[in-house]
Amino acid sequence: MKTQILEGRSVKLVPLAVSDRQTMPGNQVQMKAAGWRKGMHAALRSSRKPQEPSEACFSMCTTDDNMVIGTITLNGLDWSARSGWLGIGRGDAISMGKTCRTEATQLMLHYAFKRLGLNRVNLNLVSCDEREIHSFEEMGFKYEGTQREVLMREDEHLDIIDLGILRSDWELLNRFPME
Amino acid sequence: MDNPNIHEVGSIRLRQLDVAGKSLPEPFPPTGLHNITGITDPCLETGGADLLKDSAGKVAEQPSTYQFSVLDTETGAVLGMVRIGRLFSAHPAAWLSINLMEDARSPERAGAIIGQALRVAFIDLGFHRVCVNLPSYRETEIAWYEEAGFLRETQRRQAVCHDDRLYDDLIYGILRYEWQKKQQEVGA
Repeated sequence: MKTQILEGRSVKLVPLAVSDRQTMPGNQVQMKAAGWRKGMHAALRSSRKPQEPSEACFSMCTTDDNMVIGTITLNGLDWSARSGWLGIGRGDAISMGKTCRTEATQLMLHYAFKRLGLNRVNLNLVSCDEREIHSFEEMGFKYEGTQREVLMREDEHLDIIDLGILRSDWELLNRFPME
Repeated sequence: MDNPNIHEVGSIRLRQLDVAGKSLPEPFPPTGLHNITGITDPCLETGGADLLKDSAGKVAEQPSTYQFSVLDTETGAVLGMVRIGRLFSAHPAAWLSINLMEDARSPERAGAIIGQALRVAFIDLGFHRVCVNLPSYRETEIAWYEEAGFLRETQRRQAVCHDDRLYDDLIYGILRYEWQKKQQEVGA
């Protein structure tokens, strides 16, 4: 499947090859984070058809000056349940505005549901505030639970927030877009 | 306890297997997909990147998975398999997966095995949290874990495909201090 550039008003998503990803800002960490899921990826690889990718990775660039501001990925694609995980990586030294993040997420959801035909996209957030959750809820994600005290940083336990969006949620929102 | 690889309470004995899984007893296959679908990496936003950088620097030689055969203390018969895995390097949270033979699937036996697995996870392995990932159609197992004190934390809608149908994927979790409190209540 050939992946095209996904372009919005202020941000565009450029497909990334695996070799490109090693040098992307903020992505070294993501690669390490993905390490634990090797077993799952191997299982998924063995069960999927050749035209079914295991992940889709894009760099996020501003449309006006082509500046790379981060990466956005759909990984852990499970073709039996037609679901995947959304991951957003910021460049280390660059602050990504909420507008760019929202637009990139919406482009990715369109790609996930319309192009890949997924039924569900998962998203995890680390101990975030309600405004952060609300910003994703505005895009159609629904709060599905909190995994308590999963992570530890400087002797403080942190929760993981589970959000998810179904194709039906997304279609409903995009049939009657909110102003 | 003389042998650190043997964990025995009452009629249940957990015997630790080698990490590579070479001694996995039949008919238990290597960790299947259903065991790990609920393990998720945090989004790299909202401080996740710093957190993971921090933990990546601390990646030690901690085993990622501990595997045990479940044996009947009296007869030595194999009752099942217990796997306890580290969710993220350098973080004290674990996932738990238990596969039991058909004749070991009574609520009493299952409860004893879950209790023993939690004791190993919290006391011997020092985890702070244990979670289990269950598709919503596995109602028998859900009842076992709820009885053991696990709380339902997350319900991912339509996240698991089984027999051409989509089911919710549930994550149950229990924290060490919750388990300790329950132990005290049972002992009182």
